[in-house]
Amino acid sequence: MKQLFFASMAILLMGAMGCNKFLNEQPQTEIGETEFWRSEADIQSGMAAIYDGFQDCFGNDYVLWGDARTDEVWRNQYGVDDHVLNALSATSSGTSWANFYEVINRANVAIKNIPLVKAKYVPGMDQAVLNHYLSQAYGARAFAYYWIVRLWGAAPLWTAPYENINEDPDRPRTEAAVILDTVYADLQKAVALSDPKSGNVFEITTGALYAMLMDVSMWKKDYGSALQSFDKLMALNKYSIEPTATWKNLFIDPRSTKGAIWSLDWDWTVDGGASISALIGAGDTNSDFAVEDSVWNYFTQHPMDIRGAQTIDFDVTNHDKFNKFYPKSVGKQVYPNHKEANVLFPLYRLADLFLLRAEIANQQNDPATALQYLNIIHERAGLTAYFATDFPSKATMENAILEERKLELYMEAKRWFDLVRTGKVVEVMDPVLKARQALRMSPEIGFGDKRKILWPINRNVLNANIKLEQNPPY
Amino acid sequence: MQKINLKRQNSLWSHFKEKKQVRQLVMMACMLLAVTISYGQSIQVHGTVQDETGVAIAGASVIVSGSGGKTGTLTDSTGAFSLQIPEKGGSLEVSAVGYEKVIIKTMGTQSLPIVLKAAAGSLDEIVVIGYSTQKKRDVTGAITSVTAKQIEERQAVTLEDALQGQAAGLMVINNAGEPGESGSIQIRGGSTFSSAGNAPLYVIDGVVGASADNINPSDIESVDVLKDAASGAIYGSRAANGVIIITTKMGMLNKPQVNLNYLHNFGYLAHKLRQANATEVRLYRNEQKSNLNGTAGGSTDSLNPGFNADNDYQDALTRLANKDQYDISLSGGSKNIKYYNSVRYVDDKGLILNSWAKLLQIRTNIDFQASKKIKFSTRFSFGYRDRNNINEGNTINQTFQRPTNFALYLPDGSLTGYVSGRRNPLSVALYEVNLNDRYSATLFQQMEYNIVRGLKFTTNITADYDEGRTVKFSPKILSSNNPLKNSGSEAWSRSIGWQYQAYLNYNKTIAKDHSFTGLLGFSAEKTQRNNSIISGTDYVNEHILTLNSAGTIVPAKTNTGASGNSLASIFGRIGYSYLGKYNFNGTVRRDGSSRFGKQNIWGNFYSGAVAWRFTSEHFMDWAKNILTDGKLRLSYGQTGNESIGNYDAIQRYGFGSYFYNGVSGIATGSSFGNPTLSWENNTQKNIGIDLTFLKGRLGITSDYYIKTTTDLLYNQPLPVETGFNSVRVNLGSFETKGFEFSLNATPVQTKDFRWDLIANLSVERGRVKQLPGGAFISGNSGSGGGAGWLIREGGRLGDFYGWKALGVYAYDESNAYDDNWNRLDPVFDGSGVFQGYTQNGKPYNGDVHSLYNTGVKLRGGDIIFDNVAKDSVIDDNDRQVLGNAQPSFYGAIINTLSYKGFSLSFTFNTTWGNDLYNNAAQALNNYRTTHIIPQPYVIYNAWRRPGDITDVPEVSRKNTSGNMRMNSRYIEDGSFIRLSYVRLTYKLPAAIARTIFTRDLSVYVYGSNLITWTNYSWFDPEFTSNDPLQLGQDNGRYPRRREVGLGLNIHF
Repeated sequence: MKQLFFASMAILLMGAMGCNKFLNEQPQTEIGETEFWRSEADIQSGMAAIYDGFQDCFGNDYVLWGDARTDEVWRNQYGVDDHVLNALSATSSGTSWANFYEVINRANVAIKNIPLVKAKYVPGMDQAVLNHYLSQAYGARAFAYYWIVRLWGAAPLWTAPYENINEDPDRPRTEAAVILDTVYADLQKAVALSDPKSGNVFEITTGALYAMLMDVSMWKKDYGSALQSFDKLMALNKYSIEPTATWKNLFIDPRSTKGAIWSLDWDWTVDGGASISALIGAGDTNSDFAVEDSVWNYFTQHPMDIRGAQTIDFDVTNHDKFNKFYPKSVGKQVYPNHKEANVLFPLYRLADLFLLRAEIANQQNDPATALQYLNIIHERAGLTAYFATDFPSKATMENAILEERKLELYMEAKRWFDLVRTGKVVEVMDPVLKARQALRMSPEIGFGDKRKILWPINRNVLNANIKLEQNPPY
Repeated sequence: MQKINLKRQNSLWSHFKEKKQVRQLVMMACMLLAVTISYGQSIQVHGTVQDETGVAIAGASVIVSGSGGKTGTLTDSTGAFSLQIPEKGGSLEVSAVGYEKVIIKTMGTQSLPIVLKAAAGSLDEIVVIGYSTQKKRDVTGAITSVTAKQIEERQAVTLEDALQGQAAGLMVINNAGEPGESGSIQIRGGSTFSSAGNAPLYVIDGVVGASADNINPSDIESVDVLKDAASGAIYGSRAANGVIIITTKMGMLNKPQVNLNYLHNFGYLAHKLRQANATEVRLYRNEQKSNLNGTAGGSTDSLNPGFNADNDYQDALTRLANKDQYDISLSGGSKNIKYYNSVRYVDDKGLILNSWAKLLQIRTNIDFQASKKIKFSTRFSFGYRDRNNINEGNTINQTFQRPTNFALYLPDGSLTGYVSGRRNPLSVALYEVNLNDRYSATLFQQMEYNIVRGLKFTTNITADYDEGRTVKFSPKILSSNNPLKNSGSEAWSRSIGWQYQAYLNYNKTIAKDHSFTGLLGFSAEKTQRNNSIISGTDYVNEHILTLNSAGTIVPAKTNTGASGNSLASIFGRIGYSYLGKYNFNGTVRRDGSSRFGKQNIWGNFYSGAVAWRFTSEHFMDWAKNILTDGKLRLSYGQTGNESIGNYDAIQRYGFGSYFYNGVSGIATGSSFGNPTLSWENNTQKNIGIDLTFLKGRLGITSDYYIKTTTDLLYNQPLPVETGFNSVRVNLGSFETKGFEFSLNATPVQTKDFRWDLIANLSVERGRVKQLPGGAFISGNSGSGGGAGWLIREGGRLGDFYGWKALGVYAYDESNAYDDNWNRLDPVFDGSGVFQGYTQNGKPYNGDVHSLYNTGVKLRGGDIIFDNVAKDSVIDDNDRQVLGNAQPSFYGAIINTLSYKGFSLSFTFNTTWGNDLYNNAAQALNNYRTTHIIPQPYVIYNAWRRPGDITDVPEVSRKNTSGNMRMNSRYIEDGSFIRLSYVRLTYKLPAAIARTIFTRDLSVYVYGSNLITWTNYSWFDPEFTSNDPLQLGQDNGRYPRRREVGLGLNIHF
């Protein structure tokens, strides 16, 4: 009995010794949250993660959001009807806002932690340098919310990171106006923190922040503020219109131009291929979209417009290859495999802002200035200048500016928002959609319910948050 | 010669006495004592012990009755023994494992020829119950044992082969077909949402959590399947899905025995499928062209040599499979040492060209009795496997997708690569490289120390090493890039682990009637995994595949990884038995896992089980002649599951995939780390009965159980607005109820003929009891054609969720409904002009409604979908559960017939009442890709012109009408009955065998998968689904083979 007792005690002792320590396993390829945000290098990595989030946002979907629902494109036989026939549903591609919130969360984490780096670990860090990082984080958060509010309207508002499992993760949608105010406030904060001498075209610079401010003001129809932002941007003395001969550089080498304000960097070797290429032009697959006949006809009938051959591939008979973002090949255009495609998506460039400037002038009843800015872009394309007499009214001028934007900013995710902003969705899309519906032998209802200007919220996104309500009528 | 066959006595007295003696006997065997004690006046007896076929039984024990086990010996390798017995004469008890014990009277100095009969369903079989053993008669839980003999009849290469159909409650899916593939084993149905969490725990020779991949089935002495939680609970946290305990063979005290076995198997394509021939391809092309949106016209050019073949791809791609299987084993033992060594080599050339696998398994088992008290054991196993992994998607599936008129060869005889976007499957099979080799080794060392009588200390340590390497390469000929580009990678992985165990076993019998057993132990283990991969493109040479050949290294696919986990446990068991009539076992285990949150590292698991041998009660005496033994079992147990990511409880920042503008970003992943994460709990109640009739001729075991999983480890979606997608939580519950029935019988037993029968049947019904959020869809939830599953509260796993197809609209006007969405019938006059509608034969004049899909009105040639929501659109609201992938029941019947030297064994198994989603056919028939040709049935039956009555939609309507979304056209009945294994053996008579210097020589014919009865249309209805949330989708797999082989077994 004695042996039994001692042997048992020995076993229990072995079991009890140091087990909790033995069972403490730490990740070997990742780090715990307490080990991050301790140096400037950490801040740089945190910032890269924010921009990486934008790559997730725009790598596939920007064409869906900004172009696919407009008169720029029709679907190829491998595409779907959802976008081109105004037949979006909660399962259509592009209906999830998850990637924007990924950016927002990363920005929130950065906004919370960047000041702590100096406060806790690197007291000697230059405050101006720190501020410029903070400014980018605010700018990124604002930009993400700006896209959300334009596509879906009201949305849950998160201005601090989600860090505690006991915190309720379900939040209801906040009114669109409040979101837009937050965007504007964030941008102003960002501009104040920003260092005009810092940054490059792939980052949120002071110039990019002014461009955003101008864009947001235009969306709010606050033309005065928009003009102020434009003027401040030009006062930076950094930007000028890219010459005709090197127009292509805006899309394939934005670093080399003064016309690019903010472009999305892409390197497929580390980021993977930009999957947007599979929608509009990859070497190994058919595209989902084809050039809408009106655009095809314009460009083929106006060969002097240098943008045509540098935007769409005239040699492809089913009209489904867009070559805008690839260097022009000698002879037949070569497209990258979609897993090896780089698309340096221009988020803001000067031509966009010049045409907005023209819009401001037109709205402020200054047709001369409007014409001046319109013609800068029009002539740069190799075309002859418009005369004031071409546009007898404010409305015709507005349409001309929008048309120029459509051609200049073709497949740059601007057209849809132009139509929404100027209230022209139904006017422009009704006839287009009726023709398409006729082709489908469907009732020719045109755009139909105006509430469908807002996008539906993705089914999975809805399911994951019990406090979300779908946009009617979806 | 006088043969003495004495049947085992079953009185209470002899039962008890026997038990005591067996224990002593085991003790003796363990100590390898061949003690002969002489009494004052004694005589020498000698004899031989043989089985009924005349083969010597080595290691049988011969004991003088009434000597309390003290006087006895073991037979040598020729079955001979000699023994000093008291002069007066008396009885000898002769017994051996697997044989019925006999008691014979000695009549003085004699040579005794003793014949032992093979035991039928012996209750004295030893069952391994985890850290100790029990006699089958004392078992209180639901445990099924499978013996080496049962496995031998299978010529098993994998454990799945060995165990299929052998036990009720054991769902074995055999993926036999692809070289190097195995399958899956599940005990009593899935109980959680992850496949790792649904796999049983393997315990091989005491090593807990061992990998079953490397076990050579012919090394297996016994398999004990612990099905209920009370049995498994001693293994605590990982036993939620049952435990499979494998004990490997050990040599016996005799001359070295050598066993050689060779088998050659031929494999044929078991089920060839009909594919559209070139004429049918052209028919389909015309169909595509004639339609409104028709775009295809290509590939019909009668002058282009690329498009004018008429291939039988299945013939071109497949061949006669050949498999060689070599086994050699050497075993034996002397006074202090016993050993077993084996080597197996399998060389398998599969059905698809260039698919092959090689397998080498080596085992060494040694037991060394260092002294009376100390025994050392070593178990070493080594496995090597090397295979070329054929990409099924690009070979066998491609053969069906690629038009049969496309050329396989260029005019110069070389193979083509891509033709019109379709790969040449032959080129893929021959030129694509996916070589995988893997080395694994396990070394186990154990010491047992008998402290005092009845108290034994055991301690062991295991080291485990596993290394794998995968080389992939895709040459230029298979490239879709322009210009052509090759690419490849080389990946390494390594896993090392150790496990330490120490435990005490205690046995004590008090006042003769009360026996107690006790167990107390401790264990700890740790595993570390590392991996690396380097990927490259632009290899300068297509034969040198090391990465110095690659012109470019792809950084996004070049990395290394690492992870580790550890587990520590304390465990104990108490057992009590009163005369074997009332048995009780209780266990407790406390497990700590590194995977859970700091506060929840530890989990406790308890169990209790009772068994009542009611046939030992006097009131059952009347039944004794028929009902030999009867036992009622009742058990309750708790087990757990920790099969989750190693670091799910930690909020982590990761890197390596967040690059931007030359900077490697750091960010939290999409999964939120949950520090409150805890164990998934599984409780199981089991009631069972074991009945033995007619002295073992018939045995019946039946069990009913309720298995409940709570605190389900569930990957809950987080609102994406938090920046995360999901968080691992303990939420929800799952319940499985099941019934099992198994039968062992020897219906016929005469001098020369014997028929043994094993049959079993299992019914499992699992339901999600509670699910946060109520329901979610797994798999395809969009407009694609792949399967989707609805996982919902009250629902079963495997519920296919999609749209029900009711047919195809014959006319455009057929899309017409009344106010309640009942179909209207269009009426046409003689010249085909539409006249109006009727309903139930009467003219209909009310409002006419039509159905739309995303704004497109459905028309003639579109599928009539079941309008569940009763509105004007066919959308997500019209989905319904279309079928279920889980069977109503499964079972098997195993027969073994022996007549003199011949023996025939054959197994039928069945899975019944499950539905499968034939996604392989769906992928062909969805019209989506111009150069994918549908099945002939679709080509001939597609809707062509108004009035056609068919179930196949028009070929131009692919996306706009929603015809191709997941629908009931591809749900098929997966029930089957299969003649799965047959073996006919002829064993040379012992006398003849001896003349050619062998102990045994047998030849056999072997066949597997010989006949299958099923209505399933693709290759085979039996396959493994990797994800329990996505059961029963057939994406087109490596075809199953029908095997016929010849084998030879020589025993020296």
